[in-house]
Amino acid sequence: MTELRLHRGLYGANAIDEAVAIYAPHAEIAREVDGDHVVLRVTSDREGRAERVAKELANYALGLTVQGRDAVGGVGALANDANGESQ
Amino acid sequence: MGEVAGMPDAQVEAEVAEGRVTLVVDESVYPLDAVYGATYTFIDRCYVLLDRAAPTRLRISLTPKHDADADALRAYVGELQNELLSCAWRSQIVRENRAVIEAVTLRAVSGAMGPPSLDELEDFDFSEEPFEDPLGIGLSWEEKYKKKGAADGPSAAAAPAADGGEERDADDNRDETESA
Amino acid sequence: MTAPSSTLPAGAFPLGGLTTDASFPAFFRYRALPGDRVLLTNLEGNFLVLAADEFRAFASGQVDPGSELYARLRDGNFLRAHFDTERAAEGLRRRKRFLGYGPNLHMLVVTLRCNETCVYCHASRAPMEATHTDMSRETAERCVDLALSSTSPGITLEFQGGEPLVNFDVVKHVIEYAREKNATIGKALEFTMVSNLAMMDEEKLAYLMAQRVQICTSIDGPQGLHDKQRKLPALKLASGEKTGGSAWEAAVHWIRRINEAYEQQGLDPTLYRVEALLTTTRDTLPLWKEVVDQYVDLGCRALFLRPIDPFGFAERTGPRLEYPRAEYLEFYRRAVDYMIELNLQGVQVLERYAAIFLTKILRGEDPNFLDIRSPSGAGIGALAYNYDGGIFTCDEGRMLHETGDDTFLLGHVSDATYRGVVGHETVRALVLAGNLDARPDCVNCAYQPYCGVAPSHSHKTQGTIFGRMRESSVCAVHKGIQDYLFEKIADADPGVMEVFERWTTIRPREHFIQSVDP
Ligand code: SF4
Repeated sequence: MTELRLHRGLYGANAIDEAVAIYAPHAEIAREVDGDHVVLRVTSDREGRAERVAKELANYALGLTVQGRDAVGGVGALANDANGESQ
Repeated sequence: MGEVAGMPDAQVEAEVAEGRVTLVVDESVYPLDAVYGATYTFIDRCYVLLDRAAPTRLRISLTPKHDADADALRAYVGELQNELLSCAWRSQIVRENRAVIEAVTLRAVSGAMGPPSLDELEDFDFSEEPFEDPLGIGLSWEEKYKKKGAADGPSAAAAPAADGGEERDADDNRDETESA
Repeated sequence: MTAPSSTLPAGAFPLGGLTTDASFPAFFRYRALPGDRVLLTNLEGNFLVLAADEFRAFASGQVDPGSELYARLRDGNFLRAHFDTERAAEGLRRRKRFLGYGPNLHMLVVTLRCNETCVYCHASRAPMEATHTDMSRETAERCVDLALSSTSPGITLEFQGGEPLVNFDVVKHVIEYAREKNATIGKALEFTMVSNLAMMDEEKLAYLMAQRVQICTSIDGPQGLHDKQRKLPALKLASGEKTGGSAWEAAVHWIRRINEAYEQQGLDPTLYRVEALLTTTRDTLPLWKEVVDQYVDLGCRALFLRPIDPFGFAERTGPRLEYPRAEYLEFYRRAVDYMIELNLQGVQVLERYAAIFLTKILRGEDPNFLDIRSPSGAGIGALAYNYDGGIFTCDEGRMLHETGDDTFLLGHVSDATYRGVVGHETVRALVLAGNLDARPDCVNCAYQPYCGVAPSHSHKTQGTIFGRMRESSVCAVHKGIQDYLFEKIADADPGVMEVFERWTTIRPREHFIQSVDP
């Protein structure tokens, strides 16, 4: 079992949802909320798979979070800024 | 004017161990946008994990996807540090020039579109169904994220909802529904 | 704390130790070039190459207002204190002129049937007996109706396949129907046909010349390579004439013949030539010189060094044809270096990618190549019509449909309205996804004002129309080509710059525009 803790202030909820859905066919993924974190427990019968799925899932969720913020640090960030979504 | 200087230890701590690189950065110097921008450039080569180490400090872990020796790991630290500086600086440049960028883009694009001609107005097919809008392009931000008290502006929007209802966090478009 | 290593990837500039200033510069992006130089580009697409020391001075806001560097920065609109909003808006408007119009390129797949079998083409062809993949005259008319309702003042109808000569009757019908219909509409109408030419004959050629149809074909390089990749079985035509054996021989014969016909019509031979396209496979890479020589020998004035794309071939063929993009870029550099050398000796031949990027970089204009613009041309610059009347945002989307993926399907010509098609939710999503101003990585990239990535490619290779540019082979190619071009621009060799300037000269081929009164 590999445990992945994704901070809810750093990873978008939709991004986590989507990443979990994408990787669900590749391993068992149990999910709960622990304070500021979404905790994902990834298990698989196949050796090394749980760890790999957890790592790939984290990358995928980060990619979606960044995309969802409309191009960080660039002109696109203005849209978020204007809406007060940026920090 | 904000400053992005070199990286004294107070702002960044780096650790290279067990095939992994960990950096802790001060968010007052490297805002979240810069951290996202910098770490995004690594997702082709590394597994990246972000976490909060303290209220104003972010922890970035990079685990290379392929075997990396100590030198290669140190190179990742250097690259990430430089990318953080670059993204923080870029973030400031965008912010400083925001009004101008908006003005230029608006003028350029509105000029390209031009006003509709009489023929176009005449040809307008009012009978057509309104466009579907799955991405919510046509919705205001308040409608899209079901904000309340829109007139209160962004700061009010970021405050917790008094009734604990549909309020969303301001920073990540988060849908509070957890499917645990 | 661990001491950071000084190894930085290509394009990064070491900022450590610099006190950067965010209020001195106007909005800009930067990328380090080899030889201690840094490229700056700004919102409207101006560029400036600075020495590393100059960049440090700029970055820290320490430039003497009386200096030559200050004047260069001010003239390029890189300084906040002197920022000229009107000039920037005008520059951007010029670059984005294409946004004012609807689709100008309309690709008609008049049949999927093809007489050749190409190793990289799977989704775009059907065997010769598959007559059900021929477009009907009625469907063709509806395609023309839709195309001519575009708000673009210029419309190009491009015949594709399969092999369009297989369904030549419908090609002729489209030409005649469109000309007639356009007599009252008055668009600048053009026809283009993409053909392997193996089924060309004098009668068809005479018709195409009379109707001013521009002809494009494919040449994969020297005969051995071309015939290995493009198989033409021996075939006896209804006329009794035999074709076949060598796809290369057929294409080369007709390229020469068509060029001769242009000359017989009194057209300028430096402008009116058959356009030929290359598909770069693994086997092409070592043959960069032979490929260029082949094109020059055929009298072609342009060579498009296109890397293979992932749409056409079956999954199992991919690994045989594909290659790492670094190898492609090495091939590209060698081939274009050689082409520049030939140009300096008086041979006029240009590379298309270079010409597209250089037109944007040096002229501040966009040649409207639909796959390299922002937002991309899918649905708003082009539409593709399948043989059965299905409408797609692009030809790649149509190919994906043939493999069971309908992401890019917009409707059917039988009941589609123009506004319904270009305002389709898929088109809207693609406009958002194909806008580099809102794409991570591209927003920070110095090449952003000149670049573009087709969302269909990201969809096919990465499962998302938005794309992750760090892992995108298209981004790697575009970045690599622009690295090459800007290195040359930074070197500023007068001979090379003269060649580059010539490559950006857009000379419209007015002969191909149909006159309204036939
Ligand atoms: S696609 Fe690549 S090269 Fe083009 S702007 Fe984006 S990051 Fe730069």
